[in-house]
Amino acid sequence: MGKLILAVLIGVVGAGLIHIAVIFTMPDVAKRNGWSRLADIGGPEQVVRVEALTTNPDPALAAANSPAGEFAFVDPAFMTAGCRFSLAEGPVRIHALDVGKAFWSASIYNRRGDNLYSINDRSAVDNAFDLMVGTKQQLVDMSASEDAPKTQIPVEVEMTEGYMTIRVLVDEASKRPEIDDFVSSIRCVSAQVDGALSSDALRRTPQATGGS
Amino acid sequence: MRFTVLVMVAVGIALYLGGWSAKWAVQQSSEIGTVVVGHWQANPFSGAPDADPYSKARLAMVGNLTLGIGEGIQFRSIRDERDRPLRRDCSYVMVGTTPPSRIFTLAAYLPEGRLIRPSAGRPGWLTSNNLMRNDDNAFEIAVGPAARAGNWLATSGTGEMTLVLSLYDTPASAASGASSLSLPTIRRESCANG
Repeated sequence: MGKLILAVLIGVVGAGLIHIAVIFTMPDVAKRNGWSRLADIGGPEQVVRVEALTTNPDPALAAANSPAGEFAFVDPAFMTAGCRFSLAEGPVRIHALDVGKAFWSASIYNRRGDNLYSINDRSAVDNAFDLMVGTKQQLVDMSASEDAPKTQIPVEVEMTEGYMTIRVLVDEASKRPEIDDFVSSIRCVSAQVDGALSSDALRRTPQATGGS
Repeated sequence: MRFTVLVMVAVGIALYLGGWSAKWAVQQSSEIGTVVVGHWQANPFSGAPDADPYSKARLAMVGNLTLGIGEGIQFRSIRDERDRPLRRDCSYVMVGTTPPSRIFTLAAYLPEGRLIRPSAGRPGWLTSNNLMRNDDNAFEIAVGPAARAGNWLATSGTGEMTLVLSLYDTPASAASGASSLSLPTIRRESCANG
């Protein structure tokens, strides 16, 4: 009997340990976190639109295919887009070719969904959305090897995989095409640093592409 | 043999109880780290790197895109000022002001986060740029299935709903100030079926 009580006590203590272990590993193993939901709707470095999940006003159409991406509480007043990227190959440049005239707000997350960096149109230089995301070393190499545009903002993060989201306000329906163009012009591209020679400050020849 | 059974009992209790309590805690932990202002709730640290482990685990399961602290703050309400659940078939009036922000939006969702989309031509969300305001900058927003003059957010269907007030680019998202904010109150006017 005493041994059974001991076994139960050990079980309860073990339950506490397992509880803590489960809570701490959940962000890493969760199958339905923001990263994997973005992965459902687009490949790496592909900019995808995030649509709000909606109820259908017309019950007959309720069975129709739901919009891509299963994000809850997406603000319908905003056009939301995102992309996943990896810093394993070098820093990633996230930029829009157009200059957005509407309010926009962007965030960078690591794979677990921790929000590491946020920026909006007012805190950006000349309203331009142009971020160079990389680790400290990658950004140092990058600035040594080429001159960045004036509006580019270096974002130093410690991670290997992450994702970006940008929200652009659509406050009037007539602005939608223009904002759509802005969102369509967003690119997430891996910026090539010539790996072997990246730290060589003497190398000033034009950037060799296709390195590494 | 006896020893094996005892070990199995211990391991079984540990796995079952540990797993169950973790699941329960994640589901019930929505209050951890929330800021409550009247009947509005916000979770300013959701998604922050220094959020508590329960919020992180919860976010990983829910998987929505959080607003960063620098981006804004999202207040949700599931109850009116008299603590009754918000219902899609009732009409409400939201009166008051919001903390300073560049933009705020208001939309109605199902409790699990699906946007309530009214039939075509009806406003399913409002943005602060297009609101009509009183002289003192306060606003009055009607929420309900029946069309109204002035600021109107359309809902449809029946069942519970969640109103979400999102403030963008606002000092209110710095958590220190969040609990002393003034947010609009939600007053129930009438219900279609009592």
